[in-house]
Amino acid sequence: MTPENLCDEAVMQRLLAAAGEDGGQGVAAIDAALADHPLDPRLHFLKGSLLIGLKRFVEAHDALARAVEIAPDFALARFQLGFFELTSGEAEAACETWRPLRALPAEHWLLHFVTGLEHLIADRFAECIAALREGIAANAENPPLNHDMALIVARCEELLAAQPGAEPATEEAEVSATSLLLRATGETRQ
Amino acid sequence: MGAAPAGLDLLVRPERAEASLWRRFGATRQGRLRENLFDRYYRFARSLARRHARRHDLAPDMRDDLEQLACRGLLEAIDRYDPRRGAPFLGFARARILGSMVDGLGTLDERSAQLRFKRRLERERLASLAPAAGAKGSATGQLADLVTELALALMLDIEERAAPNDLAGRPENGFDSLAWRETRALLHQRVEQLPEPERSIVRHHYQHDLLFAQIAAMLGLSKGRVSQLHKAALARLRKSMRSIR
Repeated sequence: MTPENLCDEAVMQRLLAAAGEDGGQGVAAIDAALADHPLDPRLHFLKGSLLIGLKRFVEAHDALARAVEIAPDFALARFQLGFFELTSGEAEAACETWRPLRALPAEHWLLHFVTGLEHLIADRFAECIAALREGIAANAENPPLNHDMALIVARCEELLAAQPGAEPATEEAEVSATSLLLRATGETRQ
Repeated sequence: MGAAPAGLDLLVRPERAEASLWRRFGATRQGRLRENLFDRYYRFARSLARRHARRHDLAPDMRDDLEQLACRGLLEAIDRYDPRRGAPFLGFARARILGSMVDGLGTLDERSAQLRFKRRLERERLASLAPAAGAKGSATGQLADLVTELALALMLDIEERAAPNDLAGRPENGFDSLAWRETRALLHQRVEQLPEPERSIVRHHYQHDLLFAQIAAMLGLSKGRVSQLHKAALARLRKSMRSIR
């Protein structure tokens, strides 16, 4: 990320707080911040995550894709964009979005998650479970995302045992994961 | 979205998948995506047409016209809808479909409209199936092929549009009825096995009563190409039906 394109830390913290209280107002506040910092990928990423929670999915994809376009190395945004595409039924697009994440270190939790989800796309449930569990074990930065992946592990186990499926993770959980990630990974300001 | 693998089914959420369809259609205007959207909302358009017919006490032979107008309104709505504006598609489409029906009915003569429309469909069909100038084979052979294809078209016309218990136009005696049912089931199966976009063209023309121009707009093809593909589909059906006799 290019430092001069990023908004102040204080602004980001204020936006995160607003986003946690009301998604609609959060989006409005982010749009206001984007007027001053149109090339801050974190703002687009946060906006996309909030729009998912508001079920404005077309705009959500626009915002997440814009974040990745501005900052191709923004691994978290890239993962979430691919995950959003996957949950939209666009498996091929998701794999294409994730492809650059293959360059992450082998032990990186996002890489484990990508590997696990690609196994899932190919119906390799046992391999999916193993990779997601590795990612969960390696990820100390974002418990909500671990929770989402654990739900997928549980559903795969149910499928393997030929049992009825469980409910998917909620959109709200994804938003909380995003907020936490932005705070915890220090990607609010680099 | 076709036969998705079970793994993907665990994660895909219908609302997002639909939004994805709108986003990709908005970006590419691809005929396949337009068709997918049309299929999703066809029943909605048809139900509006039927409700409109009941409410205004229109003659039964006006219903096909209304459904045709509703389909036209639906296609217009699909092409003009902007999902980023936040309005739900059904509300947007409802206004377009009702407008299309009201405008269209105003210009139609109630008694002759249905006949005119049917004749137009049939003219398109005949023009599509007629042997091309310089076609190979004897004139008698070409005529036999044409008759067979027209017979298949007639059967498709009855079967693809009729309600399950609608017996109009079908054989009455037991033996013919059995033969009809078997042939019908086989024809339906063969239609499903047609390659795309031939299958879509047959389905939209015979099941949804769409004119070639409308199918062409939906699939992003020229009207002439749709006519060619219709002929190819009927020829394919003729050959495959012959091969099992």
